[in-house]
Amino acid sequence: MFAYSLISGILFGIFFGFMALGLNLIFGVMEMVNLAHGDFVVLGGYVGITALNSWHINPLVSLIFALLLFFVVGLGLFFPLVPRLSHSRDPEMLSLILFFGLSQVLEALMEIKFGVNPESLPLSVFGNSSWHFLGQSYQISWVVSALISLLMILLTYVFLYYTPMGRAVRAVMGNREEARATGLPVKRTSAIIFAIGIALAAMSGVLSPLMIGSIDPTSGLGLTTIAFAIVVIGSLGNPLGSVLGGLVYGISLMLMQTYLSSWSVLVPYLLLLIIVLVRPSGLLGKGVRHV
Amino acid sequence: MKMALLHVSSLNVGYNSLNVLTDVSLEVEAKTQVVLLGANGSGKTTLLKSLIGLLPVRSGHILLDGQDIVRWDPSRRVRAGLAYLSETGVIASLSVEDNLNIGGYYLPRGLRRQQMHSLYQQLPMLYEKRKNAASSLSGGQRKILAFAKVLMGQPRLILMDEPSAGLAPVMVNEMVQILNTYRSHGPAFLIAEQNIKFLVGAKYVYILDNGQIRFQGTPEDLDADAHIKAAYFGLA
Repeated sequence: MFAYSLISGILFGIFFGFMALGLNLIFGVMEMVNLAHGDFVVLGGYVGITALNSWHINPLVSLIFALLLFFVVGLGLFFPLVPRLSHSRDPEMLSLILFFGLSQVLEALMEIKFGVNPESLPLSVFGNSSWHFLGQSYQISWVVSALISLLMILLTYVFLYYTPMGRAVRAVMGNREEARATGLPVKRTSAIIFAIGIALAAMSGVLSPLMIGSIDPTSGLGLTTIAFAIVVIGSLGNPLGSVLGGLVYGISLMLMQTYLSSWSVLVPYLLLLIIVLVRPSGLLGKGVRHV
Repeated sequence: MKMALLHVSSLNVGYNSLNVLTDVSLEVEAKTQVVLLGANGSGKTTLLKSLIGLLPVRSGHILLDGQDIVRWDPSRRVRAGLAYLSETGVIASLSVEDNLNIGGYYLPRGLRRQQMHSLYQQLPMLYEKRKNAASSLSGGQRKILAFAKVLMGQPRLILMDEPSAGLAPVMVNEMVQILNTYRSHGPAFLIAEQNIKFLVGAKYVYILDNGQIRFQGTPEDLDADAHIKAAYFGLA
């Protein structure tokens, strides 16, 4: 029983780490919390479900489609909204209000388009076999989702640490003013990271019905909370932190569901409280952030 | 008349109702060192920040090679050959090597590698620490890294904001020496300082006081001007 919850916790953890990655990237570069993050995850979920139900397109294909579509959506949102926000008096506070509003709008639009009933993907969408490991068997859709999440996390890592653009992103994360003084294209970097953040959210959304069972237009808020908890656990602004945070969350959730299942919905809030009390800078944080 | 590399005319810069720089004009010729002396709060940093494009100017012109760059953003000015060494100078969370890499952001890959290689040879301390975070360096080492970071981009004019700030006197001498080695290599320098050690090798000096240029001339002119010396440096 313990081994089962541990391994499925790791599979879930990798997925949730991926789900939170976009929130963390956007926070790291822009110091804005995208409260509509979860809604983009849900939108991605509807892309996958609609593609399968209406055109029999496999979610593996929808993943690529969601990535491209929401990259463009991200760019389309960035230019009218974010530069104006950064020039305002209190960008961090105003960004909370703006993204909260965006979240409400997206939720309402999804209700109009898709209705209020929960929708899902068949768990057999990646085949009917299951993965046997240490005497237990796991849903193949979980394993595939975790592998895709892991691949995307690795690609993000390679982008950040091994490309010139990624170096510019980390420079902006480290010190925005000095990055500008160095002559780096700070605005373009922000735009691209914003678009990548939203695209990754939507991509994880395509997989989300497989991992969390079903989605409905109001699922966004809960997902934003989970993503926020994961990012704070790992440490805000550190992209690797979301992977660690995801694992802590996934394993705690699965252990809780196994041994104390009625309490499991409390997991993100409990972890958030504990980490804020014990280590406010997050597990990978090197001290409290200076703003 | 030959146009100077940098030609600033009647620059006015301010925040809200406050005027910080009033009618500032100056010139820097290619491959020379020009020193901008001034006390704290005289407007040196403001001037450098408006030259690199971090602060908007109210009026006036900044000509680089005769081209008015006053409305360009910092990245475009850097691509045109300007570089700014701020008092911070480095990005503490990045490794030494990544700091150099972003300094040479606009160079083609091969040239960037070559430039990094030659800087490593001249400043072996940076090579030894290339994998360490810049935050692990001492104050003096950070200044050296910051200097190497601006050199990475092969700029034609380096704007230096108080290279001596926060440094021990020994390190100030080392900074002056490093400058002397590079002055012959090509870039021009505009150095905002309070420390008159940086006058060594300078071709021209401006004194900024309360946002206005109060004196301009060669270091010899400055030396000969007893009044200015007494007023600004307390030297008799």
